Amino acid sequence: MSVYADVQVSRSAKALEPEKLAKLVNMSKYPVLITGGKLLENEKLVDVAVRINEKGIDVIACSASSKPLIERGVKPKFTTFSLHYVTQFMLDPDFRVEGKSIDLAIYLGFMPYYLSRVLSALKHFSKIKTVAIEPFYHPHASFSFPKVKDEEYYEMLERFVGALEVRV
Amino acid sequence: MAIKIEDVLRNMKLENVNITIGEIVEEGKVKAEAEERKEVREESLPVGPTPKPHILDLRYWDRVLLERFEPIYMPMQDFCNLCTMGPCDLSFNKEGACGIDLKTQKARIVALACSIGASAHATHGRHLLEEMIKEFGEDHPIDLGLEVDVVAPNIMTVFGIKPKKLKDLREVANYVEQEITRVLHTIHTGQEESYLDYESKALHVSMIDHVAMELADIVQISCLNYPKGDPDAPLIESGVGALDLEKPVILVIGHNVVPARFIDDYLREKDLHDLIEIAGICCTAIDTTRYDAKAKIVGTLSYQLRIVRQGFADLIVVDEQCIRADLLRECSKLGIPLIVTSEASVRGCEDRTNDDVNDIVDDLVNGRAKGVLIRDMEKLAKVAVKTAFKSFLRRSRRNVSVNVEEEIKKCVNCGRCVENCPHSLRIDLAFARAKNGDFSLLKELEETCIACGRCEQVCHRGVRIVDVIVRIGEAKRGKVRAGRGPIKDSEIRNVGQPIVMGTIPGVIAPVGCPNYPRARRELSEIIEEFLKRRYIVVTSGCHAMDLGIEGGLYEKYGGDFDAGCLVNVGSCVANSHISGAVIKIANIFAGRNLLGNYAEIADYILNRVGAVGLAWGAMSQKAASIATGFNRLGVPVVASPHCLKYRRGYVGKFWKRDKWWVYDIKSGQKVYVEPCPDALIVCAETKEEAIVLLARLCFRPADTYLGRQIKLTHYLELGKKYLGCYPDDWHLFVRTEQDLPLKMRDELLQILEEEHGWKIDWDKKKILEGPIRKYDPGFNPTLLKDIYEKYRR
Ligand code: SF4
Ligand code: SF4
Ligand code: SF4
Repeated sequence: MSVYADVQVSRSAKALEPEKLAKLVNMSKYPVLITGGKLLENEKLVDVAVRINEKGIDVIACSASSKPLIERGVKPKFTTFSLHYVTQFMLDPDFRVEGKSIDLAIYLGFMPYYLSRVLSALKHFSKIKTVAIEPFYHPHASFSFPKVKDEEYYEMLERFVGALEVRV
Repeated sequence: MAIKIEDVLRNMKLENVNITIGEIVEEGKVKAEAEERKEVREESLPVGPTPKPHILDLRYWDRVLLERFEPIYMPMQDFCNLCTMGPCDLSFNKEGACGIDLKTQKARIVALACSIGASAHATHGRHLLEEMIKEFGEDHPIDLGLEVDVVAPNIMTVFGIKPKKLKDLREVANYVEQEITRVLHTIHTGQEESYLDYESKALHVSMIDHVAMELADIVQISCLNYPKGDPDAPLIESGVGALDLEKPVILVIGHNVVPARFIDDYLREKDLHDLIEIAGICCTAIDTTRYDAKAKIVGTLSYQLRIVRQGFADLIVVDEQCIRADLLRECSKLGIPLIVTSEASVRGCEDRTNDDVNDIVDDLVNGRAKGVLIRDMEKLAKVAVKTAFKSFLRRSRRNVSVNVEEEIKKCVNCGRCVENCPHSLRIDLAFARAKNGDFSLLKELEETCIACGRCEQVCHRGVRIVDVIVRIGEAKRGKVRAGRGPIKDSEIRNVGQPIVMGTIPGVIAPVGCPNYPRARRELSEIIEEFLKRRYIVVTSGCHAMDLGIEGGLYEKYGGDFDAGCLVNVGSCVANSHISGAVIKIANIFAGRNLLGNYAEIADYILNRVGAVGLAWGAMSQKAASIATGFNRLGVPVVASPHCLKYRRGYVGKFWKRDKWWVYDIKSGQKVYVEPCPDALIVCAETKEEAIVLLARLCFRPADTYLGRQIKLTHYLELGKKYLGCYPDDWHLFVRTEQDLPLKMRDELLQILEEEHGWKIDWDKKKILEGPIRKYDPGFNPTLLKDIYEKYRR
């Protein structure tokens, strides 16, 4: 499996088709979407995040990605804390978002080497499932997109969003 | 005595001046007596509880910090292979064959990295000290200029003496070396089993690092006539574009000024100074220009390969640290001679110290020797200058041509380079677009590329990726203010109060290497936001260079340690003047005793001094120890996304109220406080996020309402500007309606009522219920029980 400049891993993520990833999200109790800095430079990713949010999934906006999201009507649960903070919070079993405990986190729009460390921390020290819907394969995630070409990536995002059920 | 003075005056033809010898003698006597009284005063200063602390002596302070700022680990590898019982799979926090778990193992690696960092500065400092003692004598005074009386705040606070002469520093150097060795000992297999204990070691050795840096820098300032706290230190011509390529170019790389200084002296002595360009990369550049303002700064360490590949350096001289490990290979491809000078970095070169100068020059110029080691600095200078002239005549023979279009055509867009690029730069996409004549993405990528060459190593098509990138970039040119060294005591007297009150909203300290997450200019964009808002900015090292070369900021902002000014203290070792300045605030402004009193001073700083570091490109182990040393002193650091690779952060949880308390010396109560600062070292991914985070980390519990109002104004404005909304936690910093910025008061009271359920008396516009605590102007916080008891008595 092709990865980026990382990696010595004991357990590698399962690379899954978008529909299967969406199914895992559909089955989870309280999934959140965590968004990163690429949303500041890539309108397509903002669009994907907005649509995931429209399916009833709460957003935690990191890296100042709150700005384009708020402009599009999203109300992120957090806007101010970097992914480093958010991960520290998630590693604490007492952490709640409006009373709810996160059991699955979807990651969109982060620098690969940055997200990789975060996924590693959650893999080793928590039970939270992590899903990377990024253009790179993320071995430390629980589940990841495989590495794909640019055009295919957006297509996969489409399929993922399409397969998400609306949460009530 | 009187006769001697008469003689002197006669020699100086001053017989007729209107003063009597008696007066001079009298004045001298008065001065000497004053000095003596000062010495007695200094010698009678109380020494605090921890002079020359060993590993366990400040562990209690570390425990206080680590309880609040919990370490968070982000492993790079799931395995450990440090000993022959391994490799051990430690995934999911399993234990290895020696019993160590993953968290503790990561903390151990962090302690190791910090030890490496500290040892680099310690060895550098020792080398400078012994060299300068050889040349100037051990009684040479430590002199940082008239306005710097507190010459060694780190040494005073940690080691417990105020050094006066070079010889006093020998025992400090001994202590530093001993502590580093003791920490290294603990990293051996089969020692600690709690990650907190390894963190305490990392904090300890990093505090020692600041002592080592201070030692190194006060030695060179005292002996080499560097600027001594001068806010108007000269502006240095910097950037590749500033080089005069009509002249031979000697490029010096590394961190230790000694070889460059000898070359510079020799050029002056032989009156060749204007005929040769002496230019530097990394901290040697900074220190050479502190020595000689005519020398030039080429740029940060990421310029090494860029410069070599362009072929205009006629000689490269390296000393130590952060020098590319393929430099000799790269130089020899183009026939650029290399001279190595340091035991730390000999690169396989033959020791030619005892050979004839002309023989060495001939061998270097004719390529018989690709590189040589020279340990005698006077000989080095002669060889360097001769070699540079001769090599210059052959510059045109160096083949540096690149057919950019041909190279780009070779690319098949497979993406292997991207996978191996530390920045995951999309070289594949940039080349694909460039094939169609659109070079914009390639230009963008050049702004982030650190010219590390990993991409070329993996490209199966042999594309000369770095060469293409180098050709795309422009030769930058700018001015960098020469490193001025210490912050003057008088400056601390002026700004100490506004900083502690909060009316100067904070001190932002961009320091470290150039491994930036995105374009180099972003650093200047971050910093200018704070300069415009009248924060104090104090910088060093590669960051200090880029603020000039990329941002042009030294020409726009003054060099005082004051609101809205930009101070370049100097090279890596000059970071000790930044920690020194915050220590001096506790001493000069607040009158706290420094000697052997580390925990009290750090506690003071953590609760009162809104200073924050910014390591936006940290790469090295030295950066790890510098940042961790700041952390032990109570100064938080915002780091770049790459810094997660250091594996450990100290990140607090604002939502755990029981973590955020202090003893209030005034009321005698334990009081819950705002979560500020809420982290000691934490990463941000984008510049926008870093800006808001820096503003947040400037809050301190002891802010007066006026200060809090100003800090809150910036925090709220920056939140709106970069996050698109007010920050999530702004209300936590409100203690009273007086904390609220006047122009936003009504709006904010409304939000507090509606969104946070606070009770507001709208007639009086007063907060009745809601804040974590009430504001008390006499609030006097400490996290240490002994300090609380000391001042309650
Ligand atoms: S030091 Fe411990 S964890 Fe590391 S390889 Fe040896 S036994 Fe295994
Ligand atoms: S590895 Fe070489 S061929 Fe492949 S994308 Fe990079 S430059 Fe092109
Ligand atoms: S030289 Fe530049 S593009 Fe190549 S791997 Fe290094 S940073 Fe990436």
